[in-house]
Amino acid sequence: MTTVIAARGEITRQMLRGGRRALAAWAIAFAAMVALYAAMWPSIQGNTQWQNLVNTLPPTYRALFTAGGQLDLSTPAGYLGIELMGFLGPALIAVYAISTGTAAIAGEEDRGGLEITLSAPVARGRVLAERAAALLIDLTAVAAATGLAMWVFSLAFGMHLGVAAIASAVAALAIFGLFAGAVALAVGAATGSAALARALAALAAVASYLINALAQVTSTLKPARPLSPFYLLFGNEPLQHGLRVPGALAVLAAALALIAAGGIVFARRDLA
Amino acid sequence: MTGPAVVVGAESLTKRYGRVLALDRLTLQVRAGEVLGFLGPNGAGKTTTLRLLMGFLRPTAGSARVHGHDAWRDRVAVHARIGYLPGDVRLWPRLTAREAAGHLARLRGLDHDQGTVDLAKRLDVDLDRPVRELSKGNRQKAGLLLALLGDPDLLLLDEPTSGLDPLIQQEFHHLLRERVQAGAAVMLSSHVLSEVEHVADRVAIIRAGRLLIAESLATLRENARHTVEVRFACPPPPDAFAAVPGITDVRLDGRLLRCTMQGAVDPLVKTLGRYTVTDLNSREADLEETFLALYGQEDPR
Repeated sequence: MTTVIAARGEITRQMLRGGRRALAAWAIAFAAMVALYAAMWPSIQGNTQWQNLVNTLPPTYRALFTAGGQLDLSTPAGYLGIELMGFLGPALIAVYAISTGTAAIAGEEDRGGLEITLSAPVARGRVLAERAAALLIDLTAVAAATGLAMWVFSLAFGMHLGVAAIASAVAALAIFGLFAGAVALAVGAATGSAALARALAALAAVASYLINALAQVTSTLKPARPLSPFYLLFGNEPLQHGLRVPGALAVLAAALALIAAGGIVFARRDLA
Repeated sequence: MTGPAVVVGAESLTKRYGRVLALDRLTLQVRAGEVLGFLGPNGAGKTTTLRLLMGFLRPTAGSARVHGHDAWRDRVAVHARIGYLPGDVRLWPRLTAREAAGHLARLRGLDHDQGTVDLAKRLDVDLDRPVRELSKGNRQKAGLLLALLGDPDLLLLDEPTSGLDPLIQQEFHHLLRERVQAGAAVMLSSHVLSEVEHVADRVAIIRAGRLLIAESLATLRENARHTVEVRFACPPPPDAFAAVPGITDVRLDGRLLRCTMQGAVDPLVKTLGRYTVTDLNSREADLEETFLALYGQEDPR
């Protein structure tokens, strides 16, 4: 019996080739966002009026803008951490990851290409695994571009962020993206519905953000806070205090488990 | 049973979607070296059958085996030797046909370049434009190219000639013949008999999920109705032909007999021997009429 050994990594490479332009656009957008906030640092630095204004905000407000609840605009890491890690960065990387994760299986199924891919002698589980790898590579590339921009622009505008702090922050971003993207990928693989994949992944990302924010002000949600990937990744303010490795690994493991579970259903369902 | 190897074997293959029975206990074989034309009106279950054979759908009951492997459980082994054309050819919209062929060839572990260029020449495929910019017919040709890549020994083709101009259709039939002579098996679906009658060795006709008939075209032709006209030297008795097996629509008008024979004309010829026949004219009903008769006169929806 002939056995065909398909080129290893071919599906990953194909997905990366197809997503090249989107990746470049997102990497540039993240770097530009970093540049913009870094460029404002000289006008924030030493200006206590901002900090005074912020201090008058009720804790609920502060909880929504910061992952950990602290608002410190007096240091570069505190300032950039609030601006980039409190909401905007995680939201944007989630959008990118969800669109990429949805397109990987359910999107292709909608567009009619999945039957051709799966007509090749390649197991469905392998298609999913290779596309998850491509998602991880894409997110790593966006995180790397963001980190590089942080390093360059923090030097340019006198912020002097440490390399370890930058690495912690962008690792948290990438892993948060992987979590949201994994939900989209897994739901899409399990159901074949791009709309459902997008919706549930967005819901998961928003819920993890809201649980973390509201747990800071309402005692009923407090027990749920350690279950929020947003809290596990950003609650420690990684740009200031580094990444909490066990929490990050837990989110990573959850993302991989989701993809594996999606793969099990994917192998057993009818194609749409 | 001897003869060429059974490549596709469906055994009571059934697919149900909720309360809709899409395919009802289909039992069918395709052997190496033959082209099976899979005919039926739209919605009869042709695409469902092909997708079950590809392992894209799980059978509700029954099973399908391809090259001896279960189509659902051993998909990867089955796919190693199949070329597949989906009914709705959309491919990967952003890739050119050349890029798509390269990708698929690498997934199949093929050395692709020569095959792609040759096939593209024969099928007149534009290799260098993104598939989404191609017309339906040109996309169809690109899809055929992908299905034929690497000389698979089973081709499952869903409506392969829809949207093809006649010249390309002819070339495509040549390509199929070459593959079949090399021992490949082909199963191609259509809702129009004329698209398959020049290339198929056998036809299977399906309607509302049920197989009506699976016969060689030669047998189908033999069983086709014949319209017969006979002129006699002197008028035969009025009921001279009433007892001939298979005769219908008898109209005896003096020295002229007009009738329809179901199947072979031999019983009529034996009876005619008793009389002096001055002229004999027999015309076979065309296959399309036979086919429509099997469809059950209904307008193929």
